[in-house]
Amino acid sequence: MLFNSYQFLIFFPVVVAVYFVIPRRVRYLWLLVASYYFYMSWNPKYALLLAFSTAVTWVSGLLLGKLASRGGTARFADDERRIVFRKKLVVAGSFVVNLGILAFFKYFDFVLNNINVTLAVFSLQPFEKPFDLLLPVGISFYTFQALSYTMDVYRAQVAPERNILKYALFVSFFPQLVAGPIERSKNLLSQVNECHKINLWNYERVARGLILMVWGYFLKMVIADRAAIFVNEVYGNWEVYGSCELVIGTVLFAFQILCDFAGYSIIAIGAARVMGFELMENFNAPYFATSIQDFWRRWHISLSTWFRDYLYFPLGGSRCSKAKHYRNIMIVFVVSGLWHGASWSFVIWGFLHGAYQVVGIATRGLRGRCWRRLGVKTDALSWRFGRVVFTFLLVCVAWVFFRADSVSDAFGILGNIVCYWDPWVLFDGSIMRLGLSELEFHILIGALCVLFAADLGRRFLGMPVDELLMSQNLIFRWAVVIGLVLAVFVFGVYGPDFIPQQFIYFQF
Amino acid sequence: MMASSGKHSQEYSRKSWGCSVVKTFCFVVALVLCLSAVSGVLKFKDGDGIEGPQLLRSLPDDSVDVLFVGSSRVFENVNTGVLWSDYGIAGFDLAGSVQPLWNTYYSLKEALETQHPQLVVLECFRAQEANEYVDNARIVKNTFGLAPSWNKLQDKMASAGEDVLLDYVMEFPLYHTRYSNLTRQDFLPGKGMPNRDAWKGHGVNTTTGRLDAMPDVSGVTERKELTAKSLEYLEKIVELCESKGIELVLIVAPANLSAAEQAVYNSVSDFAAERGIPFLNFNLMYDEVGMDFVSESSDLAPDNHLNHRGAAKFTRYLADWLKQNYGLPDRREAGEEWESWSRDSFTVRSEMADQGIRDAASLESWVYQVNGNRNRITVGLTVEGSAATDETVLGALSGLAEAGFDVSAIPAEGASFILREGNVEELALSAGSVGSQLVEKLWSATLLMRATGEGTCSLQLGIDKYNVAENGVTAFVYDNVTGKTVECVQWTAGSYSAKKTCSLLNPAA
Repeated sequence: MLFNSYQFLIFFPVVVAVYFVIPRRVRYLWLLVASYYFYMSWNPKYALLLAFSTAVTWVSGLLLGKLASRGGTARFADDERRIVFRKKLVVAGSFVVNLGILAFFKYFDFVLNNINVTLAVFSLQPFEKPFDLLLPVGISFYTFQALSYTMDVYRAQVAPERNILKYALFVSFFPQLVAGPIERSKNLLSQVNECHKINLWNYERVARGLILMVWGYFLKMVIADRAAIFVNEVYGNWEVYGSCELVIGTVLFAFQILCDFAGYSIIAIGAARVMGFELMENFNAPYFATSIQDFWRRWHISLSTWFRDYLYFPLGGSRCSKAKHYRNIMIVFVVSGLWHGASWSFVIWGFLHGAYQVVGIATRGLRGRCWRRLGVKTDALSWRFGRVVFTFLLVCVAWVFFRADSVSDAFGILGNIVCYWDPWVLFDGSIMRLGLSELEFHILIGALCVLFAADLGRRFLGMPVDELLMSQNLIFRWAVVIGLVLAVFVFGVYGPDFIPQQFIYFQF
Repeated sequence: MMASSGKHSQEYSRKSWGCSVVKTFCFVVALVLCLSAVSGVLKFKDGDGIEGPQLLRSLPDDSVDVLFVGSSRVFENVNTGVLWSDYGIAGFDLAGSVQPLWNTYYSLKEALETQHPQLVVLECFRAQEANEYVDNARIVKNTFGLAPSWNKLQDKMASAGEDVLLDYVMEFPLYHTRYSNLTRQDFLPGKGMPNRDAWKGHGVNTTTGRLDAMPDVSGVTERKELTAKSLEYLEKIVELCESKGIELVLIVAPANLSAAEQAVYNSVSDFAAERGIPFLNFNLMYDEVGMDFVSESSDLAPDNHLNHRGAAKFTRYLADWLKQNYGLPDRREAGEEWESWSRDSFTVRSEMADQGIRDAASLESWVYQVNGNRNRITVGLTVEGSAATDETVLGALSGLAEAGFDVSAIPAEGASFILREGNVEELALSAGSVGSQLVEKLWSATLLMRATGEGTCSLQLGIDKYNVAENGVTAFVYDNVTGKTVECVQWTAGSYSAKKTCSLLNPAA
């Protein structure tokens, strides 16, 4: 059930209405049922995987809690070491099982293909694919969310949850189940436990939630799905296109993926807020970042902080030798690339982001000295603007690998951008024949201006869209919200004329 | 103190609750109003299928005497203007292109809720429908015009497969993309046309198509069964008319028919005979009706419908037969209730007469046609260069004398005029009059004729700038009844027997 489907337009109001009508003590049960129904609308069988992952991490939490309570009363150092060892064993067990399932469904084909490629080099018989696997929707998201719980209990940052149904709701909470934000037990599990205290009607909360949902739909349906029409054409037939089409296509893809993914996250945050839950922010004007490091503080925040907390820090983070620090960055970003998809192009995408950062850190001092000697005013607005543009350029180069169908395609596209210079297409009307008419382009540019204004507000006033609007006068607020609803209604890409784009991040 | 504070807090909470409820209510009302306004602009407004049911609902109850239902062979072939002007029959074409019998049934069902015609005439062209569902555009045209009701929902359920049904039920997923091709018609009531509220469904087709020989299906005796779905709805139409006590007649309009199609109509003929329903297949009666698909003035249009000549001929024959067999009343003097039929008839006849103006090739015959229609048209006329002194031109234009047009007013350097319902206004074209202009507000746009230099004039209707003959006669004709441009044409000096269409100086990209 997509957020931009008719089913969700019926499902969500029904869930909210029932949620506030039923006795408070059973609210979490209703949300659990609704969440599983939501998930099973894709494929009922995969709910078993979700339930299994939930059960494994819940049991691991209980075991960790039990071991922790024993650890507190251990008299001898040996006992304590044994308990720590057992705790690590439990964590390892939970990780092996959950990551094993994830790896099986997500990386089996990838590994098999690579083995077969290697065998072919030595003229050996390739392995036959024993079965076809369909990647369960959102498995990467809920697996990471469930594992964060195991780690948090291990680190004694949260108490183990004894009620499996409440814990199951934490793992399967439908607004963020299939595409994040990847929540932490510290935040969401405690809210699940407190959901009986949420008031039925809180104008401010509901209004802000609904504003966010409308904003998310605007990003997804007006910008992302419209940009996708051009991007699909250009990337689908990149061989015949030159630099201008491919540059425009890549820039539009940068906005497509932002609006697609941020759109989903914002709808999720809004939907959760209507029901009284606060989810973590996932995007914070990422294309206003002044460096790649800054970009990752603003892009898919719930995932990057997950990797920071549960991979980068355990590896040693930056508190180690330079070489190890660089190694840690590269590991995190290559793994992040693999998390996004089982293909070498995602690995290269992650590698590029890691490399950008390593080079950035390694040359920081040298660059600083250079700028000083050259008399560059690094506090000037133009300098900051230049950094934003340069960062965006680097991100776009990496997006080529993310969007291209294969590594060879990505290099082909970059080759065409550099070698196939065709500026005339900007003037002879060719650009308007790539799926988007002149009017559609104008709509897209207008919508991007709205996004730009909103991100400016986020970047310089520190206010997300809902807060920004709620701080304005009623008439202006209503005019903007009604304008957004009308924009989605009229300019949204939906209905039989269009093939609805799946939210891109569902595949991850 | 504590109790008082609690009371205040309770009161504040109540006020805040009330305030948020009022705010929510106002917001929802504002949102719904905006959505309705936008939706009203974006909705489909096709005359083909959609407008018919809407206009029928706006008629006084029980004012329609004969309801013609079926496909485009109804709305192109049954001329409601002729029915009214020649017979006083209050007829209505309730039809949509390629309309399957299930759509016809639900349209008819809705129509009979407010109307009780003496007669329903079902044109059976789509009895040959072989598909369970027709194409998307036809589903839209044949279902969206009905009023929101259970009947409409059933219509859609019969028309669209389960996978797409929700789109058709909600409708806006199908029309929201119309923002890219909105026109003036979408923003104005009655599609911005005068008398559109009086429209009775007939679309005048002024094109001409010809065949090498008249088709002959009289020898076809084979029977091809209707599909179960078509037969089911044909039965339902019969039952519906019976239950309402309304006479039903089945017809097949004249067309270039194939043997396979005739085989279906043979089955329809059997069906009608079994139930004692009159059935007229006009494809077996070409001579009686006087149909001509062969000559230059053929009655056929290229799209296998009847053109304006054929439709008038066919309608007269049908009306005679109906009058003879059902004693239909003459409503022409019946009062206000039928006033809209008179306007519709005038509009239909205007459209047909406009074709007469278009068909006139020579300047002389054109002047004759214009003069005959001067009470309902506006003409912008420029005579420039040697045409201003050409005897052929002056002789031809003197034919407009009845409209008060004085050819002696045309100076040697030329002149421009606007002729409107007998009034004539002249525009001086001499060098000293550069910038002088004639402005005529027409129904859909403003006509501007402006002197641009010695003996020259520009001609512009709204945004359209026409190329004016520098040495010849240019004429722009506008129909004030239909609210449409009839033509903008010119005769260049020396070739006053052949007119050509003026090109636009600023054509759309």
